[in-house]
Amino acid sequence: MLRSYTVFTSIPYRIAVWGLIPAGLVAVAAWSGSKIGDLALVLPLMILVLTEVFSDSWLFGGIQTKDSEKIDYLKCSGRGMAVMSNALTADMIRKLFTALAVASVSYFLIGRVKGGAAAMPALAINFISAGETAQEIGLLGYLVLLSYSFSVLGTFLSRYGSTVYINMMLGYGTMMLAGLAGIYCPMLLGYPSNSVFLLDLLAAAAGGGISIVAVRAAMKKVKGGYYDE
Amino acid sequence: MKDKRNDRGNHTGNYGVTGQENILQAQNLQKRYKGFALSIPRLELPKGFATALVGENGAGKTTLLNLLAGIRLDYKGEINYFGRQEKGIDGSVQERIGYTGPGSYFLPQWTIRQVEEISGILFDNFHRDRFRTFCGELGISSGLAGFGYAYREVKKLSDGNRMKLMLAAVLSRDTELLILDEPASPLDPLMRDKLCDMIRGYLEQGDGERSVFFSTHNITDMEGVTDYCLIMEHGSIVEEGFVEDLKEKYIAVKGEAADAERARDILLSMSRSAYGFEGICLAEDMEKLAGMDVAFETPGLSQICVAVMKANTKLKI
Repeated sequence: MLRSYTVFTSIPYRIAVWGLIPAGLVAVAAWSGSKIGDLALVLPLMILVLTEVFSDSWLFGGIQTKDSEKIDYLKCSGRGMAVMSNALTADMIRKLFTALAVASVSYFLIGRVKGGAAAMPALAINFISAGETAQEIGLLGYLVLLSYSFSVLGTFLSRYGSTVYINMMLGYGTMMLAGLAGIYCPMLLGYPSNSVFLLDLLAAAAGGGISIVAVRAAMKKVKGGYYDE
Repeated sequence: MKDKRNDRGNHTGNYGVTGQENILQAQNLQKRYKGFALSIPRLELPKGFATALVGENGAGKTTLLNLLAGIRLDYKGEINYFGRQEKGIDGSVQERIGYTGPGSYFLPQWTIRQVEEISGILFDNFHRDRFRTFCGELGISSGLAGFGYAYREVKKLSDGNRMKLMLAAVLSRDTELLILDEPASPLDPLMRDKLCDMIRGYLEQGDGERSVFFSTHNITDMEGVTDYCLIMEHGSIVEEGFVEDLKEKYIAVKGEAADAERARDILLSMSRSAYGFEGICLAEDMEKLAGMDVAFETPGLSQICVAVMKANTKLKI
């Protein structure tokens, strides 16, 4: 599965998506965390949604458009459809791991620099760390799953269009929604409270559901070339 | 020159009406689109030869090649590959076939390096070193030094270079049948000549076990490499045969302008000028031209194809 995925990724994509973007987001988290405390963790996870939508145009951009690429080369091989399916699935897993890695490293760094680096402890907002350890982990998990879900939703929708403008609209739209859901949903449920675990379940269900739909929609379109669909 | 007809060599079994061993046989192939129907009661591709598929735009050439390459699976009829007992296409058959097609073949954002890597995953018989050699030979890397060209995206390649990349990918595999859809169209004359050399080389290296089936509008450029020819019109095959046979079946006629009207009914196609006429007729109809001041010549494959297409087209030409 990993090899199927990596062959779809170019060197510039790997450098950007596997290295530069996560590193940049962690730096943003550390910097903003020093200003406003651990609420800043929402920021890199929002931007991650945007970068996932944009970077997908390097990978599977436009494969679900009406006059989509049928990728005949894959159909020339008995393994073509399996390679494609594996690559799509592996990309989902990669998105989840990226969100998890960015959130973990960012939160660790925010805990170190919160209020200290900027010497403005009065402005620091202890949002995530306000809960007990389990609730804290629950909220972190929710933010990771939320970022992942909106990343998958954004990339899934963007694959129906192949223009930069559509990708920008979808990227910014899903990024804003992720940000709002990241802050307001826990607040509405009265965080810190154990209700955060309900959010975990909802985000996990949404992420899983969107992932299945996204892979199936892309595969249906690619396989559709066999049958004039 | 060696007569290619009935040159069975050491082959055994799976012979068709062409008298040759076949690489592929199909029966009752049918595929319908809105306003178009492909209907081919019988199709046989002789083994060890290059077969050209000729026809006007919309005749069904690409549809037929897609069915044979397994790119489209929604058709009626039976296709038998390589004399196997099993009908239809599967992974093991596809491993033995190299297909190039127009339009959406590679993902446009793939780089040349990715095409190489993906080919290695898709096909066991793909050779990276051969691929790189072909990329160099075909000039896909021209103007870009070593490292750079491999990271060029498919969408940034010209139509000609994209075709060369497809050819490099399929020729880097150990296949027994190449199915090439319009390989010559995007290529310049020099590369068309190179393409003919490559097809010839592919067949020679196969020692009678390899075959090529390609569609083309550039009949004159590809005639040198064409052994067998199929002519399609309106979804059907209207003429086929070895080029030598077709050149015996048809004859080119040149005559005086005064005889043009009388000859018109006998000729399959005719072009007139103030000085006379030229056309193609069936060799068996030569006697009907008796009494006219005409000269006969062996026609080129292009002349034959155009005459047959004119005789069968629905266009008012």
